[in-house]
Amino acid sequence: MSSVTLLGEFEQIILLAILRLGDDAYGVTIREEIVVRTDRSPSPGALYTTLDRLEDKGLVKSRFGDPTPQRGGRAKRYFHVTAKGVAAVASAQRAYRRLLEGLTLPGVHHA
Amino acid sequence: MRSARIAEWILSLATIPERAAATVGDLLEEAGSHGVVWFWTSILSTMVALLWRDVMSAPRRMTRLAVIGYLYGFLLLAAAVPLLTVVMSIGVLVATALGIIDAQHPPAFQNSSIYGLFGWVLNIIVQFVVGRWLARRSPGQELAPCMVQVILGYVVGAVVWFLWGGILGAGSSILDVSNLAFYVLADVPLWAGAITVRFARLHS
Repeated sequence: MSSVTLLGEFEQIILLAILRLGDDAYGVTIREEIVVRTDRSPSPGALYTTLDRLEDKGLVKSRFGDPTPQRGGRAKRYFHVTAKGVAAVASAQRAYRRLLEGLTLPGVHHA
Repeated sequence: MRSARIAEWILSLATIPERAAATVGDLLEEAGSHGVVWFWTSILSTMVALLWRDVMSAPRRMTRLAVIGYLYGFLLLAAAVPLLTVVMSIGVLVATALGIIDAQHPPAFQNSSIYGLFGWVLNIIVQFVVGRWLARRSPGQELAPCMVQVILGYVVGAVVWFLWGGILGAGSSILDVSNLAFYVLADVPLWAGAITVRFARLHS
């Protein structure tokens, strides 16, 4: 059995969004990235609880930025994916690819 | 912005204050395009989601706490009602001795509004004490067992009302707006007790 942490689908989406955003990954940009890339609009409740859970699992780390006036003096909470998080998302994606190998989904054009 | 501070306060009931502030900042940033209703809906749904996360982190322990808390409250009430009756009896005796009450026609205080009022005050105090008791036994997740107790209360209440109305034909509906308002208000002291412990812990 692999020791890599198993991920839910929404957890993978969030990890990939954070990886795409690099140094600018915080609540607002993560939500926007998910909306743009997946056409899904996650509820703030689902997003923040999942981010907390990912941090508890050691898959992401967060740090607070400087307070900004446009947010009423509130700091942004920036996220980055840890090495463990990268390994978990890579493992999940490999599993998806293996499952898809040689499979033709009815009505779906494969590139 | 005052409402943002209230929002921050609400979220800090279920997460650390720094995270609550950052989340409110995010939602304020997005509220510019979504509006005030979206902002408050998001605050409340985030709050519920955070509490639910706390419940699901240890569902058995939270349920056990909620059930024990319910029994604890029941025992407190059971002990307090005779005490209340004794206190009121002494009050009637003193009032009679002082000539405030006619000795020939003592009041049937068991049915009086004062007795009902004392009963309510007692219930509020007991709920508050139970809320504090639950919160002290769940450090860092003070409100989660209260949430379970409230949900269990609604479930048990719904079952009782269904059986009462269906089998005995009492006919009172749980969906009656005044009944629902009563249930929600009755839980306020429980939450208040847990919130006092939460903030005492945050500020210690």
